[in-house]
Amino acid sequence: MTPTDTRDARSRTTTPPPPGDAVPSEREDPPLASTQEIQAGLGEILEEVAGVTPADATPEKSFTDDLDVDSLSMVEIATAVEDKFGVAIPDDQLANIKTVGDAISFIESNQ
Amino acid sequence: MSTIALTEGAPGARILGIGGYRPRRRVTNDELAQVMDTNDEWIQSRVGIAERRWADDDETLVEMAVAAGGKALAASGLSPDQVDLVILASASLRHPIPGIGPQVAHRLGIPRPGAFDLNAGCAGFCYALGLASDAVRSGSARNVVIIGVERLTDVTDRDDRATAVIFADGAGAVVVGPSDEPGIGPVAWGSDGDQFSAIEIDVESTFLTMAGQAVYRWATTKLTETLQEAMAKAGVTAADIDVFAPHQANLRIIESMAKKLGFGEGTVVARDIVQAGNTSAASIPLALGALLESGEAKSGDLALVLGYGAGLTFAGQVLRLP
Repeated sequence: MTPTDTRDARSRTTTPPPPGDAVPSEREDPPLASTQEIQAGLGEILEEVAGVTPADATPEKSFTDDLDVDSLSMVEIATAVEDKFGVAIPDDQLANIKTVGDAISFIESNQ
Repeated sequence: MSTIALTEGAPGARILGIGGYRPRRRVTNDELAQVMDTNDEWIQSRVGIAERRWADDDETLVEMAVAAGGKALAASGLSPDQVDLVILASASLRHPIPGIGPQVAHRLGIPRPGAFDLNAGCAGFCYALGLASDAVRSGSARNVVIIGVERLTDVTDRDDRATAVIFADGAGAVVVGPSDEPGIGPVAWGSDGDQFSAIEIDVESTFLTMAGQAVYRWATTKLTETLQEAMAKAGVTAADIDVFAPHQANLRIIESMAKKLGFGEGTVVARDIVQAGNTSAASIPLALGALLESGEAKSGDLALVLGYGAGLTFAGQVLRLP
């Protein structure tokens, strides 16, 4: 049976190892994504999930008001972000993410 | 020392007949838009529902259950005295004592069967199907009647646009009996009790509330694994599935699950929710019955079913359509 994307995402560790942890991990942490890379990645996710043109996904845009992304699509974006960046966005945090910029900041500070 | 004797069961179990009852009153999105702040476009894009059925006062849980159970019995070709067990799955009983399983069984003319109610939320039908299959295979029952019945409008705040547009009423039933060739695969079931409050009837208001985003996330991520498990246990793959009939909770969840599983082009996906709304424990037998009636599915087709809901609970299996 082929593991699904979902299973991959769930097995990925999202908490960084404690400082000075010398135990070699089986899976190396991916290098941190730059702001530009995050914005580009988020653009791809928005296009896939909600049909948003990536060029429109600029930081000041509101998901609901400007990009017509509804609450369930926000959940799909959250799970796609977890798959792509290894950053989990819990439901209570998701409610605070109103703009593309909010999402970029959240990913940056939690990756 | 005397030993305890055991009953002899059947090599396999299968569904012998399906029956359903849809309440008379059709409620369209436009009708709802006249009484609450919503519209057809909003409802269709969020949950994929165009209309739903709401039960009138005389369409009680017992009456709807008897109607659906009677049709399933007739379709099975069995007489009531061949049934030993009746499982009534419901999450909308307003009066939990007594349970209505015995009364429904009596009304169906089944003489003194084992009869009880089962509350596993919207997963109730698949939980009952797992138990019924095991009962037939172990010899605890020759044949079993399962009925999923709901009057969710009794527990829904009709002024709450987040839930009133979704939840509906109806009943769906099947008869499970013995077969040489297995017609019901092993159940893949479980629960996530840490999310017990994600779908609940609020004690104060007595109305159903749902954490929509949390439930949507759970359904579209964690349950893919359960569907894979149900297929693996039955020894089949997505390419073998003719009919995919998950609980009719939300069309977007149904489409998301179907996409992730990667069925072939010929797989029929049940979308009864468009006409029926979310009927909880009744939704899967209602959807299967509708597909057989319309000819989209046919006898002998291999179906994958999955119930999931309040608890949170989930259960899925592969089965052959009667």
